[in-house]
Amino acid sequence: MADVISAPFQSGVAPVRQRNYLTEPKGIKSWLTTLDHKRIGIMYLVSVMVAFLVGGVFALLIRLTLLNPAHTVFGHKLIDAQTYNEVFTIHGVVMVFLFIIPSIPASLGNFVLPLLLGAKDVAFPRLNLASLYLYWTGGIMAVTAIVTGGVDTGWTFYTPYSTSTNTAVSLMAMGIFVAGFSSIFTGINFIATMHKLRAPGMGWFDMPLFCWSMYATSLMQVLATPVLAITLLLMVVERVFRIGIFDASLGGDPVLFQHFFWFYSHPAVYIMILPGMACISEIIPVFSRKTIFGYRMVAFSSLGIALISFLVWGHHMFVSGQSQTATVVFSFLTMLVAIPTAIKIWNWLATLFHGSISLETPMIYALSFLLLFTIGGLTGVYLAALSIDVHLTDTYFVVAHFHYVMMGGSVMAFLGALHYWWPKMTGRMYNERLGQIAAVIVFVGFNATFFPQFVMGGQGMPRRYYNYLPQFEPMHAFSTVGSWIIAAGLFLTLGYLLASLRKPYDAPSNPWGGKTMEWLTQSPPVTENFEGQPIATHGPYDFFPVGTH
Amino acid sequence: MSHNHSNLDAPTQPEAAELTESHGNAGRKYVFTLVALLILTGITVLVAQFDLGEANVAAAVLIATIKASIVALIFMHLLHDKPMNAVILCTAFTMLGLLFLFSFMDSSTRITPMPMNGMAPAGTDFNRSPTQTEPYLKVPPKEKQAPIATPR
Amino acid sequence: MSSITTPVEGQDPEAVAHAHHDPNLRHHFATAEQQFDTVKIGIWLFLATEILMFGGLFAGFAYMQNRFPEAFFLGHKHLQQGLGTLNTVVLLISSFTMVMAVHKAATNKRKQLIVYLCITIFCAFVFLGVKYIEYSTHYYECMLPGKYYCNPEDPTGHQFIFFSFYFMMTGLHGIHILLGIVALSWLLRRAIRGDFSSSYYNPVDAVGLYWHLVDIIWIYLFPLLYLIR
Repeated sequence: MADVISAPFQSGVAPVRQRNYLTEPKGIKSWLTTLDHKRIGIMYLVSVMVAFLVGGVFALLIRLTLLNPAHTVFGHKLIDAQTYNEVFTIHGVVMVFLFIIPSIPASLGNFVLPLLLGAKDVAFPRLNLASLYLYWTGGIMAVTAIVTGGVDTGWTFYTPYSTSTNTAVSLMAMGIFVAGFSSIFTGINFIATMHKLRAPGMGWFDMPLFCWSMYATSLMQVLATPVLAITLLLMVVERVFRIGIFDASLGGDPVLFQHFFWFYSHPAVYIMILPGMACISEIIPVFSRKTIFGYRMVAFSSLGIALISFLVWGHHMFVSGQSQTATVVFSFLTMLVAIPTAIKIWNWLATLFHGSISLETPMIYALSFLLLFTIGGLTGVYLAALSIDVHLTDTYFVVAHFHYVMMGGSVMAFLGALHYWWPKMTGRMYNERLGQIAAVIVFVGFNATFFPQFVMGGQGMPRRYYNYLPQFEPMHAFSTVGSWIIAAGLFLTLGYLLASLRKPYDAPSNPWGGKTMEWLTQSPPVTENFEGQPIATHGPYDFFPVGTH
Repeated sequence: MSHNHSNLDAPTQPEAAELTESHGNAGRKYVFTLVALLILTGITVLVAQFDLGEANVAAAVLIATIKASIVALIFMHLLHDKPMNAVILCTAFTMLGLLFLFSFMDSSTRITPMPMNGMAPAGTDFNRSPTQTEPYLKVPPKEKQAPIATPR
Repeated sequence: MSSITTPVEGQDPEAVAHAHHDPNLRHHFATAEQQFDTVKIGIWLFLATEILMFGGLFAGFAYMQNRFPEAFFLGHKHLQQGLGTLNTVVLLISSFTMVMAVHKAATNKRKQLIVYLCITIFCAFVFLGVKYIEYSTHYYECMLPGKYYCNPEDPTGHQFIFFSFYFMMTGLHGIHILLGIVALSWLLRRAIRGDFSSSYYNPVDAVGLYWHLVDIIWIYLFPLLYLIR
């Protein structure tokens, strides 16, 4: 029981780690009935990558359809307008509910949170496994809905169209209902884990900032997702029974649906970005060899974002028919949410300042995040201003805004964190040169795809439109070519990551020189995470040279 | 946060104050609570028999909240528990309150008259801009009324 | 960070030592107390999600009642106040027996625990039985949700909305009662087997909290559906 694990930076020393969570216990059944958070995290990782692939293919299809106003590729018309509606709906639903929301929390978070806290597992391992099965069930239901009729309402399911269209809305809604509980269970697990399973010596303000952001995310998952559940249930009941809550012809109020829907979906977008911010808080100090600037501000700003996010949902409904009073109130409150977000950006920049920066792949993604998320966030503030929003709402400006924050933000952070923790998860180092190249390709492709969309939106190109005026063709074409560049970069990434799995274990315990607890154990970790119980004796970002501070 | 148990057979799980009380005490406390709840139920039903207009709903919700609080504090042990659990409960109700608050803020400040029993009032003009401040309902000015025909 | 495994400050070494022999202690917890507190937090978080889910229904109900006050008033007159009151009393009694069951589990009174669990389950069945009677009445009077509503005495034309909400809210609540019966039966089986003692009664406590929440939801449902004016 008195094993001492030597802590800091080991480069090139590869301890014997044939016995790890991947190799034992063996067999598919042991994986499908596992209670090990690391295995559950890996299974989630594979699942969300599949979802990303599916959503990405639909995205490529969207861009291909919009390559020219005639919707032809080499003279052949790909899809008609009705199918186009289904394609962008499925892209949205799969990306939002099956990829982004579970991506960082359920895959990387599940793997790394107990390790960061020095714990043996999450608080409720069986609930964790249940969460995975619910995600799979919801995913299967969603896929079934896609292939047996499709859905054409947009991922936002606005009534009265969603309550009257003939497509497979009910099945899709119930699939999301089930997947939502997967999200809730993850949130419950993480909150309880952080309250009760921190290592001895680790107070709340000694936790890595990844944990603070995941706490805020889990808070929102627990409090907001149930309202989505009841909204979807009410929508399905309205479809089947015509109960008259959202349908104006029966006396209902379509704007009420939007209130209910966005009460969840606005916090949902922060559920999407906060885990990304969690990853950035981990990557930047390590690759600047400098402690995070303003730890408490970053921690509190995560909570601030979570709390304010519940106050602003009406900004999705400025032109939907809610009252003027409500629009003004929501507009003002939306401006507020920019404050904690900006605090985090400032703190990360201040961390970089005078740091010793090294540009490995995780850091390239983190720096991309800083730029792209700032652009996305600032354009969000434009949209919060009522007078501007009236012109820009439902245009490509909004599409560009949310892709900058969701893809330029969350996905970049996800990829960065994936590379950061890849050695720990798999015991192998990926090809660093290819990683850097792919990161740059994705960055270039992303901007090529989405920056023109800001311009188009400002000129009036509406979103979700199949047809468009010829004046927009050059920018649409540019954007489509950009999407191919993104695809190239992402497929390259997939390629070298998978290729790295064929190597023997070559990653040291601490390839990046991090100070958080996951680097104390071998790569890949043993099933119990650590040999013995680690105790927190210094902060998570103590990069001071010996003898200073 | 942990107790020092020198006797390993003693309960290692702290269960409110009831464990250290004699069995009769806890049982009696719960019986009194049940009686209180039943009395409050009776009051709710009684108050509902009188027509107090708007106050009926308010009174019903108020009494229901008192009953719910009693169940939460005593039956669910929140009174003696660690405060985090009560924080969770209050946060949930707060968020719910936000949903109510903002939805009603919207519907109560719409200048379109709220359709009463499913119908917009007669004469409602739906074609005006929402930024105007005059009421939708246009009452024809008195001068334009046709003169009443009087028999010669 | 150095990692040395010694008993941690603030943790009772005897509790930690005892923990390693406790069959009910899951491996990632250091002590039974830590496990108990964690389960409590977990179940309260789950209850928070239930509050928000039902709360959404309440919000919808309030919104629609605001639009159609007459229809809702006339609709509620068709509900049987007496049966509703009876159900409220039955659930309150079941809440009492539930908390008594938790208390008996915590004080090693296995036989009384079993008795109280049985009474709780019985009350739950009574509740469902009364609800069945009510639903049958509505069925015969054709006061059904949404498009199936065909009761002729409806001057407002919108009573179906009230009944839609009535069936949705009591239906969802009824499903939770049913799930509660399943959970209580599972507890009963484990109690008979002798799984619970003063040192381990987490499941009884957890199901108890769930049951009380189901009761609280009914405490709000009853006046709003049956007693509004």
